[in-house]
Amino acid sequence: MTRKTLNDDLPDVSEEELKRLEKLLNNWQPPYPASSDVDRTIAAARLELQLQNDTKPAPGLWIARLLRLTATELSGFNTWYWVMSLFLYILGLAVLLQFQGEPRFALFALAPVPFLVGLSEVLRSRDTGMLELEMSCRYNGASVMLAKLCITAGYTILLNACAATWFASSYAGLGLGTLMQAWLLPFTLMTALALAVVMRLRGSNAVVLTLSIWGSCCVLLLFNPGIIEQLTSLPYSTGLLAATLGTGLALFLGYRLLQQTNTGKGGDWLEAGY
Amino acid sequence: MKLVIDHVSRSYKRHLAIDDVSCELTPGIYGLIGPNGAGKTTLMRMLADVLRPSSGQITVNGTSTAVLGERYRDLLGYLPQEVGFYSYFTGERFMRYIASLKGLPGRESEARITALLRLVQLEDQRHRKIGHYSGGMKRRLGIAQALLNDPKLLILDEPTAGLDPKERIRLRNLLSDISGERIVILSTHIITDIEFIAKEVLILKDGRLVRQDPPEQILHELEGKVWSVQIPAHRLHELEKQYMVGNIQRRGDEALARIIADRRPEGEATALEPRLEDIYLYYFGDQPERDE
Ligand SMILES: Nc1ncnc2c1ncn2[C@@H]1O[C@H](COP(=O)(O)OP(=O)(O)OP(=O)(O)O)[C@@H](O)[C@H]1O
Ligand SMILES: [Mg+2]
Repeated sequence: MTRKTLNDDLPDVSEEELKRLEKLLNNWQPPYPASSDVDRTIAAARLELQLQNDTKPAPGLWIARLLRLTATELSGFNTWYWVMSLFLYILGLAVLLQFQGEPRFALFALAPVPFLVGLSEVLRSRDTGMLELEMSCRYNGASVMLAKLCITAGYTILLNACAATWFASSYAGLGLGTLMQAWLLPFTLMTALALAVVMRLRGSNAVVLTLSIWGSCCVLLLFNPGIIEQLTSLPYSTGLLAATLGTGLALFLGYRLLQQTNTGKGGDWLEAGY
Repeated sequence: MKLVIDHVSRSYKRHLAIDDVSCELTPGIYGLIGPNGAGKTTLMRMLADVLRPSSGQITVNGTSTAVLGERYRDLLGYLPQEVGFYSYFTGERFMRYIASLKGLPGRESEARITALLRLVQLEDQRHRKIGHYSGGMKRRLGIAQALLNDPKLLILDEPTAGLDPKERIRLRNLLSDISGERIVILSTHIITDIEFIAKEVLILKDGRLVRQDPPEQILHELEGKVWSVQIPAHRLHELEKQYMVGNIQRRGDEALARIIADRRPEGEATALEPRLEDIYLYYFGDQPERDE
């Protein structure tokens, strides 16, 4: 609106008054919102930004996150697990070496044991009901489960690798390759079996069941030294192939377990809440 | 922030636990009430991203929580009805564990853990094993962990179960202090827990949301429907057949009963001021648990 039309519309406003009005308006400050309102607006904007910010983490970052989570979970493991499984492992090796005397078979028989025992730790949150709380956190139940699986599998591999190295250096005539092969095969296959079992059973039951299955297998083998001989002296290529198959199967079943955990969202393992 | 529950249903196998619930929640405290098995926990689990709806969706400011995923969980604080604490954890270690699952940076969370443990009066217990905590202490620890990430959406499933009256009042005050810009949803069987603090009451019955209204409005509708009737004690069962009967006080041969009736009942009846507790009787024809 120009001054002219204003003058036309309001004939009895003097030039003077108009100037005053203009000055008044020039000096007018819009009322400033209360600081609580400003804070509210900022909070709302921040929330909106947070919700909109849909950036997938880079693969490197994803691994870093998993490692951080693994460190967290490591602190969550019961100390008894480390002690007990180490004790069982060493005791088992010693007993088998003493009575059967074949280091390859000792490795073979004990390879999956720390992992199987560790299942009770991996599934503890599911069994106690802590998983429900974990699932509502940023790193949800499936990530937690994955981190724990990595820990137990890593620990088992470490124990086996150490034992194999030690045997290789103390028994002449046994190559490291043969020894590695001796534990890889049972470890991967039993891991796959255990993961399949775990999808259907509580942790402690799964541990008992898989350990008994494995124990019976080993006892059967003890009475058939011929088969042991064959199994422990498989050609590299066959052993490698079998271990690869076992690994693939274990990875697949592990993936299924994580999926099931996340979409427990299927709700089957959630106890009715009363 | 606006949280919308949009035609959400959930069934377990063939049992329908939540049946087509829709509602809109904005900052403030919501009291979720309903008898055992009404579906409160099921609804809250879906809100806490623990359970997936069989159909329907939950949205925050227009975006589905299934799409938001981690971004949604960052806004959440959740106290399950039963927390399976690891008994070998100390209170402090548990809080650290949850803090790292929530992705809080270490240095920041230490101060927060201390403040929260003080808030729920567990500071002197922080180095004790949770296995040695009492039920109420575990409940308070659960409440403390839900607040770790300063959640914008706080979901508490029966937070007052097992708390003594003093702690219940403390929790009520705490919730009304922090509710400002947050959505707080709490389920309870003790109506006085939400009296005075709830912005709205959500009433669940057989998996269906039958009411969502401010408590004052529901109370207003009950006006003139709550009566105190004095009758001989041996006629009580007749009364119980006819009306929804709440508290009964016996005085020798006479009994004084609090009943809900649309019209003035026969006999010696006086109208009473409705209380929030009467809602329970009115909607579920049943007695609520009582405070103290
Ligand atoms: N995991 C489950 N498997 C099968 N049915 C379930 C499961 N969880 C809940 N239900 C059923 O769903 C219905 C609602 O249960 P929910 O736990 O949500 O009730 P609630 O209102 O929380 O009860 P309460 O007051 O006892 O805590 C019930 O009939 C219950 O039997
Ligand atoms: Mg419940």
